[in-house]
Amino acid sequence: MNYELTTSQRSLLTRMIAGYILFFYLLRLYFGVTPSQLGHPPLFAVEMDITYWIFQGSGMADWLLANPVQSISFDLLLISSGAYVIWKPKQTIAILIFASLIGLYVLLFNSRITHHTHAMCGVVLILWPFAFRNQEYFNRLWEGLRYLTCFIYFMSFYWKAFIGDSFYQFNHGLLSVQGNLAEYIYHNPDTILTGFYQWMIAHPILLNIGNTVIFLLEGMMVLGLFTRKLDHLLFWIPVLVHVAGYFFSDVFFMEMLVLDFTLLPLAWLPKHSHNQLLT
Amino acid sequence: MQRTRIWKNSYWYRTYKTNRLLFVFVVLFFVCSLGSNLIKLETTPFFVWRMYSTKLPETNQYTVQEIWYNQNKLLVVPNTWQEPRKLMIFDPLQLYIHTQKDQKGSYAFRNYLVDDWGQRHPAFQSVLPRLYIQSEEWSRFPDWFLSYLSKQVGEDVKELQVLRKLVQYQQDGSLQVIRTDSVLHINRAAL
Repeated sequence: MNYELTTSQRSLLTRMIAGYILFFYLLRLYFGVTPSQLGHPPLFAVEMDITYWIFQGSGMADWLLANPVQSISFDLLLISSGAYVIWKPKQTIAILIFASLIGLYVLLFNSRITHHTHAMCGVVLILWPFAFRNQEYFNRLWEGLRYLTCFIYFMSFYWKAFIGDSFYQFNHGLLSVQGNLAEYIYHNPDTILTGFYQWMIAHPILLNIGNTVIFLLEGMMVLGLFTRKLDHLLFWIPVLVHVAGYFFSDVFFMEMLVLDFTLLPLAWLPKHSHNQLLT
Repeated sequence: MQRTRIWKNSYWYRTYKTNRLLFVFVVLFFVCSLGSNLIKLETTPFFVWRMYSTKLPETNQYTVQEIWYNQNKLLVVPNTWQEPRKLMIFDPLQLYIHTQKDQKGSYAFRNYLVDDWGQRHPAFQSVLPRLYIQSEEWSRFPDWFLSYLSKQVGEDVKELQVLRKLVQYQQDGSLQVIRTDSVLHINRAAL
């Protein structure tokens, strides 16, 4: 079976992915968490990640944040390069700029919240294959990213089952909901969602089974390392995992779902477009 | 014969045939991604996927925070989809309270970096002060936080109080407050 993407499919994917990333960046702009709105946060955390060491040690983070000229220019350049990529998906220079700026933003955001969240990991990785003009190089890297996506979710299961052992804690589902949703339940005691959570906590068997099922689904992503024939099923696993995380762990990992584009079965994308705008 | 066909159709072989440099890059990327997880050390973009992998403490008591500003206004960010906003408000504040109040100024990351890691890697000693928060930055935090919060809530925040509450789940899933402590008070006039 041929898994090579045509240039038309590539253009469509470029637009979809750039649009997806840009949508969430604009949401962040609305939330007031992009460089132009942060002021100059004094606290930061580099942890033991050498990339953050270089980023912080170079002084670039402070240079970007200390002056509104730099921080506003950063936001404008990021948004306009993303919009340009949607307009002209074959402009690899624009993709390169967009990918670099979004990568810098992730470093900036994670270091300034003093906690390295993984929600934007997919955003850091996914644009790079599109920066290669050569279609064959693009196809190999895109395929590699698909393997990496399967690897990531399987690794998440591997950690739970063979390194951290949370897979074997049967009431992990209950304890996770209790811990992650305590703030929400405390501050919103009268919502329908709180009523639902309280009912679930009073009937923990459902939470514990659901938690185990989600862990096992992550483990099933290993199948994607051996065959592409199940992609139409595997595609839904990250969706389920992150929707469950949204409701039962109070974490917003929708940006991570950008990696799910690598599992889109090619049959879902038109091979040729007669519309000039879509090429 | 069958084995040769499988190998020739494999991703690795096709990548090798496309470009050897590309092949080396892809192999190294996968090796580093796997290696980071095995040695449990993250170096972006080689991420470690350990979230929710540790066993959780068997308890039904948890700590929640109440942030009151301008005396009688409670800060609540109710929706999960607003997580980036929550992270930017609550996480630095949490680090500040933990380090400056709970640990009385003892900053765990600095202590590890200077007293442990730095001793084992003396060549990096001169770079290390750039990698942890300096005392001037700790003192700048309250003023920055009030300014940032003012933008977030759309009014000038002059005063802030953080209460830490120990809560306990009841049989029906509701929460009961066990203890309340005031952990931080910032007044712009006093800064």
